[in-house]
Amino acid sequence: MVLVSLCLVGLAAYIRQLYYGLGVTAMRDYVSWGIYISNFVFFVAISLVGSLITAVLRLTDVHWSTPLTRIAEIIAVSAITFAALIIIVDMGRPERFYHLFMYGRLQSPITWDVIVISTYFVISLLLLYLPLLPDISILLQHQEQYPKWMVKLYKGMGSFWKNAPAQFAIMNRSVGILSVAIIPVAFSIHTVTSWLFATTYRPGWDSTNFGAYFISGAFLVGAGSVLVAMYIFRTHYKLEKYITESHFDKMGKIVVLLALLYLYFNINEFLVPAFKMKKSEEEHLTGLFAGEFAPIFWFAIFTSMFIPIFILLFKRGRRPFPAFIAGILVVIGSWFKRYLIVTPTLLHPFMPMHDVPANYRVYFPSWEEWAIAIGSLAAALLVITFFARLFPIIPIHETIEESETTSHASL
Amino acid sequence: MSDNQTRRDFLLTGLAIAGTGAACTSKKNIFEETAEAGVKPSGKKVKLLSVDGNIVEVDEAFLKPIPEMPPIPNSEERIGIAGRKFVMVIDLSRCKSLKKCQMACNYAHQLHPGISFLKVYPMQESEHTAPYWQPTNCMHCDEPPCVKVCPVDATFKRQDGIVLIDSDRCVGCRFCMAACPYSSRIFNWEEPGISAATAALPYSCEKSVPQKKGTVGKCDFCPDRARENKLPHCAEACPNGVFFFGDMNEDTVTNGAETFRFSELIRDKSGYRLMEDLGTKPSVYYLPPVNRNFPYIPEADSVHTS
Amino acid sequence: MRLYNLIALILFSSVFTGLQAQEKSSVTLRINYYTHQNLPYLVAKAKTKINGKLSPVPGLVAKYYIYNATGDTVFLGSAAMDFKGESLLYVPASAQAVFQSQASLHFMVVTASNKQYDEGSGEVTVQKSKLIIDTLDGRKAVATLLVKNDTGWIPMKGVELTLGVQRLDGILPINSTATASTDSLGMVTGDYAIENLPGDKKGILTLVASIKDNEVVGSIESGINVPWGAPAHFITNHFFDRTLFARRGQSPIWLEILAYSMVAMVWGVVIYLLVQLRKIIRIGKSAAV
Repeated sequence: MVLVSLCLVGLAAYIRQLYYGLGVTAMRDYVSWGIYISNFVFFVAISLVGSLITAVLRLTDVHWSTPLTRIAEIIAVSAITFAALIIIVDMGRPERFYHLFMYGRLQSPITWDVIVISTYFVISLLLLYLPLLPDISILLQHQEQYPKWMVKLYKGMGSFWKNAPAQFAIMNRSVGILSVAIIPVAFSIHTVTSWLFATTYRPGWDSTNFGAYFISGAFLVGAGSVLVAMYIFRTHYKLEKYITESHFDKMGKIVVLLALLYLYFNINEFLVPAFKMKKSEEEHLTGLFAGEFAPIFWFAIFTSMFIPIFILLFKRGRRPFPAFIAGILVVIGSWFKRYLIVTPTLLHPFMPMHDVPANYRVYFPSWEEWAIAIGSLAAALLVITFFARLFPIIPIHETIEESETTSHASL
Repeated sequence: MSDNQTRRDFLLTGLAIAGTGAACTSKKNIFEETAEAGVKPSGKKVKLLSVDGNIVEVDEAFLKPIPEMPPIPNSEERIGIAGRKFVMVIDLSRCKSLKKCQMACNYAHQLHPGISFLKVYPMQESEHTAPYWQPTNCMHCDEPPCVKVCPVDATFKRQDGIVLIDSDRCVGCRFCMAACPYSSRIFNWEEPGISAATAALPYSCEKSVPQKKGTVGKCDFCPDRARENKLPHCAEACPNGVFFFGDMNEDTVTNGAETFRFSELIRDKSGYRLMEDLGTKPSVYYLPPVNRNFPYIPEADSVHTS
Repeated sequence: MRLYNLIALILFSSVFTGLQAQEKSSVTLRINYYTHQNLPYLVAKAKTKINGKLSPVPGLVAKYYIYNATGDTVFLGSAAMDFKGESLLYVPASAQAVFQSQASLHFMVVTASNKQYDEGSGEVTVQKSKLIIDTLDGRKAVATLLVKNDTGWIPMKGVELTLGVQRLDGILPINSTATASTDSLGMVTGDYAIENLPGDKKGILTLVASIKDNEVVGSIESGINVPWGAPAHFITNHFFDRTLFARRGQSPIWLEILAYSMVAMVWGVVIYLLVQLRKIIRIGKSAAV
């Protein structure tokens, strides 16, 4: 209910924005990209979790992660959808969205972003849908339990699944192909998104490090969000038997590894330019380390990396509840980190800020921007919750298969 | 054909009066020349009076200056004027930050109050170097970073070097604004505060009028004025002759009162471009602020005049 | 009651007329006489004072007149003023009779009053004049200024004149003396001292003599073509090349190959998977229940 009301407030704010123009936001000529874009980067980052949990872990023959694959995929699909939607919200002329297809220029990084995001959306959807088919047939076996409209939905989606061996063979092979295909696509979505910044000359963005920096950050925030989702679904749906403490232990270790990797890229990203202190970057870096952005910067660094590493480094920290807290810290810290990637650079242009109205020189998002940004996050969560209500959040069939294999193995 | 007849009449009257025994070189009629330059006849002929009292019949499109420019289709606006390469030279030693250029540009393009395409920055490279005023508009770069990143071909570089924006195509993604290192571009965050009459005008990329909500705008080097052989509004308005404008292929720039050979001007006064190391290849050259006409007086506050 | 109504009526009407009697701004009209290649034309500029500054007045219509010998005005034509309050009118053939009968020309321009502005008017008087430009051996340019009086065309002395080459929006002086005054024969001579100035394809330039804003004759420009320039050279223009900053459809070949092949490969896999999904559906439909 909370989520729905947040969404409605966001929608109202968006209607206001459509009518009056983007002037209702606090964005102006200098900070021409604000929290809509940082939200966009955040969403794209989170959506990489699908490829991490489902594809990478599956390909490396890891089996304990099987119960988590569906959580990961739905987060991925929901996030990538809202990434596309928040971009439309940020456009000055959203009714001209079709221009991107009719008049698209191949030379533009935005065109590349449109291509890879739509590709990733389709692939993630397939990776969500195909393993869902056996589970739908299991649900249909118990259809008396469910309301009529849900049964109709299941039938429409998967009544053709007959658990035939031929079907399983095709499905398993397809999922295998998808797992391989999704990795380069996942890498490219976040690399191309990073190129929206790295293809410009601005201090803080003009970096060759951006692709790897963004991807490592994406894996981190994705893994953190899985920790959060794991805990919530486990407690809400009483899934302790399937999402065990061992899962939190292993996921926690992964998050530590990813956080250390992200820390490594952060050091490269900040310490190297700070060593040189080129004139254009000096203002930007001092602003981040010790100036007007220092509180947010150090908050983001600590909550997204240092504190979660500290919590999860110890066995006691990798228990469900502390891991959940670490996950939340990672997600919140990462959101602010994305804000720091977008806005401070724009406040340090090469030319002096002059001959402009006073409100052009500062940026604090207006209530409409907050409403829309929070509304989009709420809507993404809403999609995930709806999905969890309709479909099993743990892949039933695969988990059964897994436990049978392990019990056979232990015999 | 009456055109040939009038041309012949013209030449005859010219010959009759040139009685100072001068050697006659090929006297090409100005209208013939214009027709050869590829200007299309409008089909509307006018009967005009010459100084001798003779009647001359001419196609209106061939007149210089032309009374009224016909509207130019968008496809031609995207291609530009053949054979030209527009360049601007700004003499920093003459600038006093009077902002007449800004007022003229804002008026001519009917901009939202408070927004300017042309900004006059107080510059000082470092503590011990001289402060000066720098009028800065779009550089119309030869390797424009803004054009590279536009996803819908709403901003484009023409063959005459001018980079224009098509506000009917722009989707308002603002990538070009992030990409421009010179902060040349403005965005219409709300409905521009212009009169209803202006808002109802048919949109022209070359005039950048009327500005539209949710799209980007910037200095356009006034190509509509160049077609009429007039200077851009800023160059015409400046009382100190700071702005020189011209065609690099002709190797000449003028501020209305003075005309110089571009190559000589840049060489003699050591002209330079902004942020040359970025590789954008701007089309605006600056003459350094030496032997200044006015001392630098900082404004009390960055108050914007409109 | 009646008195009350009367008072109300008086008050109301005075308020009403008070509202109607708005302050109208005054319009300053300036008219100037130009001659270009022996074709005379008139330019009118409308300005008004706002906050002590002269600002242009858009949207007015300028009506041009010429005075004939008896002092009556003859209508020449009207032209709408543009954004900057400027309009231009060539002297039409219909004025031939008035034009030829006088040596001194007296023009007037008026704009009608509207809701915002008062009437405006401006006048200018000039002598009919002709500027002839020609060349002499050894790349010399010579310009002669002739003014009409009752006897005929006579040379005029002491007028500032520029000899130059016509460029896009200005005149480049042919030598370091930018301007010179006409002598007793009304002539100014100058050496052409510009080296290798780019002209048109064949190196032809337009040699121009120009007089600006003279009280007696107005502004005059006359030009002839001379082959004294270098052939046109065009700075390299990448408009037709395939570059990263070109139009859509003109992207570099390497980018197109790279992008299209990557998209084809990935979407090829996607299409293959969708075909596989169809297979699953078909197996399901055909299998025994």
